[in-house]
Amino acid sequence: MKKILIVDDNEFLRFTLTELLEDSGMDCLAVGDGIAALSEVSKGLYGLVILDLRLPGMNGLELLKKIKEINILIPVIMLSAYGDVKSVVEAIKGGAFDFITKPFDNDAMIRLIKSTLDLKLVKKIVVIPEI
Amino acid sequence: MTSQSKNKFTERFIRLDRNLPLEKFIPVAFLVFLLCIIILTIITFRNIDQHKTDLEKIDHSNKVLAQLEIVNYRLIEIPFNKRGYTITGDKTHLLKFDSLVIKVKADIEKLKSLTSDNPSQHNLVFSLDTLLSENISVLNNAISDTSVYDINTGKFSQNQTDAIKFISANLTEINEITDNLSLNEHSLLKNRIEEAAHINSVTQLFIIFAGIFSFTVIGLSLFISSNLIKNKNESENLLKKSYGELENRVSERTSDLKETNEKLQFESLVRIKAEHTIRESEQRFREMADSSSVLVWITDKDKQFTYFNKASLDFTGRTLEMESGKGWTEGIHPDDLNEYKKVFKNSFDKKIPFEIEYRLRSINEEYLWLLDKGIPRYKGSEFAGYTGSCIDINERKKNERFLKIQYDISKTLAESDSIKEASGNLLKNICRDIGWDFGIFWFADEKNEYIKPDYFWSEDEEDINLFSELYNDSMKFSKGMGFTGTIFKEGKSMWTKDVSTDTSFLKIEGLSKKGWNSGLGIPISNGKETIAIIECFNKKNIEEKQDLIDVLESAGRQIGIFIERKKAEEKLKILYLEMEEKVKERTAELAQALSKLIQEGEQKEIVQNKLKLFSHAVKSIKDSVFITDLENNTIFVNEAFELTYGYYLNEISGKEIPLFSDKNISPVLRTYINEKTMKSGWRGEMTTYKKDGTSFPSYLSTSYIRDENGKVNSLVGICQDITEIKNVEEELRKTNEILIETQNELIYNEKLAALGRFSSGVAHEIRNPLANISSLSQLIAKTVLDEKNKRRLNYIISNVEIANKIIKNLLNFATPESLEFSNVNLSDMLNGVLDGVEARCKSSNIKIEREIPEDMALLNLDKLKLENVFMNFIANSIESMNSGGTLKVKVIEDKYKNEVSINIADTGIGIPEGNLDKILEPFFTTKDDGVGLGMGLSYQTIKLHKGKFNIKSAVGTGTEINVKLPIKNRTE
Repeated sequence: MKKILIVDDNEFLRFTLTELLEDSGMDCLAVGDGIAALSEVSKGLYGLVILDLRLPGMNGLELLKKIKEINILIPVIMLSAYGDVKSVVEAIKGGAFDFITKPFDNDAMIRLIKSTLDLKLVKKIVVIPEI
Repeated sequence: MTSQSKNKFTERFIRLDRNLPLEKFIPVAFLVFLLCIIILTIITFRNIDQHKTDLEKIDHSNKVLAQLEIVNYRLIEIPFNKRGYTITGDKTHLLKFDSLVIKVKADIEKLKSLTSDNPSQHNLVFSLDTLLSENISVLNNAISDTSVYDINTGKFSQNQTDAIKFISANLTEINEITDNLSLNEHSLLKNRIEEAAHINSVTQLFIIFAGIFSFTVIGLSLFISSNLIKNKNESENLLKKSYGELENRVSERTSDLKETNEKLQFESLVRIKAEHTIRESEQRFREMADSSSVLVWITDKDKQFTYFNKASLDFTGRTLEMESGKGWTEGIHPDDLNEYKKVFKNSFDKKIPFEIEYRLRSINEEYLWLLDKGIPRYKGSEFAGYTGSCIDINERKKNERFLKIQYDISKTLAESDSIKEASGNLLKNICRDIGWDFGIFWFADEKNEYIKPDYFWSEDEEDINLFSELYNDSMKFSKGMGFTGTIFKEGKSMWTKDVSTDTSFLKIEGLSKKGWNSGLGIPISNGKETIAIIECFNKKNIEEKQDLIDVLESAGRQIGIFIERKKAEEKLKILYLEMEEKVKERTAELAQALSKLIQEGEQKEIVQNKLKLFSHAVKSIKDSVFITDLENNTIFVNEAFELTYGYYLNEISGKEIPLFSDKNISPVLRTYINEKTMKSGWRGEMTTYKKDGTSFPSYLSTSYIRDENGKVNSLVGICQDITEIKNVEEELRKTNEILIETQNELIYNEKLAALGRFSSGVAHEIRNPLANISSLSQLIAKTVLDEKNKRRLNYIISNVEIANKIIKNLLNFATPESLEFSNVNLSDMLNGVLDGVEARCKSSNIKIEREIPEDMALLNLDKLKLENVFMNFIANSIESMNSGGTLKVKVIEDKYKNEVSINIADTGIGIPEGNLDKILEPFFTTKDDGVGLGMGLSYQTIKLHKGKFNIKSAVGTGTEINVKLPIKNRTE
């Protein structure tokens, strides 16, 4: 099973999530900002990224874009304290796979991660202009 | 003009034809035309060819792109298959991997061939090929390495990891190259499409040009050739025609010459004959003329008289030699000579006939009147002079003179107003007409005893002076005294040829001294006796002419009658003047009386006009005007009043004015207005009623009217319809209300926005720790715990949920979620809510009253949200009635206003007035466990439904909430 990358600025939540995932037998790494996250993603070792929407400096949506530039095939689950429809739509448009609000149900979180990891992603097809 | 221009045109064509014969022109034109067609066709073909190659190029680019896509796809699939084999050891993966490798290689080969014409693309494909080969070799090596994957640890060996890293690096590069390839190909493709489109349009343009050009050339050559043929034919015809004309003319001229020759011979014969005849006829004419009694004369063409007949010479007693030339004109009376010369010369110059009367001296020295007629004479066509004849018209002339005398006298008498005026003119006219030089008018005195000179006339002023001396005022003749006295006495005319020999002339010395010879006296009689005499004198000795005397005597009688009549008229005139004087006096008296009357009349009219003006003004005023007596009985109402109220003057005259008599007017108001009016007038607004019972607001202004003695005798009122003013006021009031409402809403929205910004910040900060608490609690809950700790943990978890819910509500309040509409039965919904609280009410001793209609139309609403709203209101009501009460829910469907009104009333503790404004504000609550968001959220939901919210409350009485929801427009 591939490694999971957690990106959240809240130190306690990084701890909680790592505990939760490791308890479920998953391999994961938690980072606190966008730059660290990007350097990790470019290593090409991660099968999933859990990304907080609100981050210091580079916000979640910007980071999502950068991650997708590095590896479009990597699935991203967004984590948010807002829970409003607008930011959900923005994130899905930006290529996020799914979305979960804080506080969350532990079991629901684990279910979502597992089902995401099983997914196979297909690259977009280049459209040939008509003559 | 047209034919001329046509000729010019023809000439031009003939010239053209001469320079460039038609037979040569047509083949040349066709050759040029064919050449043009061939050139255009070649260009067109070339363009089409170019277009074709362009299309092929485009197709080629498309193929390259498609090929690239396939390669791209396979490149991704290769490592997957390889990894599949590595992990599972399933050979099918390996087979697939191998076939993919072969396919990719083939594809690359195809790409190579496709891009062979483009060196840069070709190089890119080569580098792609190299990278791919490297990848495949690495992958093959990895396959042969069997100790790569440790199933136990689930990890790859270092070798494998390195290989994967290498491949992924290579893949990135490959991706870049393919991207470059497709980009290049796209730009190529774009250029080619543009080029193709450009060539396509150029080709079309060429084809159109070629078409237009060929048609123009064909048309032009056809036109020119047809014209050339036509003109050639025309000019041939013209030539033929002019040749024929020339031949005709030559033959005509020959015959003309012949004819002229014959004519000339004939004419010379005729002329000889005519001369002979003329000579003969002249002789005969002279013989004839000499035997005529009429005076005949002939002139030559130089105005010289050449012939007078015998009668003429006998008349003047002169010889032909004396008369010839212009000798005879010596005999013309000097007075007529100039006129004759003028007429003769004018006529002669113009060669027209003339007629003139003149006096010619006869053989016995007497001038006799002749009528001379002359006509131009021609010899052949040549003017030869005049021939003329004269007739004796003496008798006629004399008669004319007498007639003139008669006429002049009659005219003078008719034109004269008095005897004095008439006598002067008469004397002058008579003397002139008979051609005598001097005249005296004698008048008899009133008693007819004497006759006195009254008036003298002469052409010569000196003569008058002389006679005035001779016949001064003291001079008078009695009857029978001298020449005049004899006429006075006898009443007969007298004529004397020579006064000097007439002894009856008393003043003979004076008269003869001045050379007077002939004298003539004509009596003027009134029928009984002579009352006046006219005397004329002439310096010549003139024989008595009885006919002249007859004429003058008859004129004398006429004058006599005139004088008598005038005398009578004068008497009458005096009488008339007297009468007139009297009439004038009376007229003046009358005029004075009349002017007095007129003055009085004018004053009256001014007053009447003023009255008219006032009455018109009152009539045309658009406001209702009425006049009553002191008891409010109608005297007058204007047209506006009649039209406005429907009461007509003739039906209400004398009755109480309907404005006050209407049953709707209170007697108190009527009395009040009347009292005020009598004091100083009243003005104010009141409702007035029309005959048909309808009413409208009006502004009434009343006042009393004083008569000329200052006594109040009537009342006047002006009533203005102020419905429109009222409407405007009402509209203003409403607008103001809406404005205030909008303002409140704006303030509320502003507050809400601030709250939104604040709460979304807070929410994030709180939710992070909440998530930690929640997650960790859940983790602990999974471990083995005793019951006590399990319960504690569950409390933690549920409290986190409560906190989260508060945050959620807060967020919702600040940034409300959009509504989800569905068709909802409002009555079912409200009944459901009430059913849910029924048990609770029973226990709290609360009675529920429902007034909810069953068959309500479906409304388009967000069911869940509105249910929460009503639930919230009803729960608040129940809580306010701790010690029991009544909850009343009433629903009214107002189809006219297009809205549903929901009323929820309780008999609870009520809300203090100071709190009523704050209940909608977030976090305002009076409950111990309330958050203070419920009312605010409910209000917001109602607003989102475009509804209205209203709350009334009083402490101790209860609270009433009213919600109005629109029936339509809910889908927006």
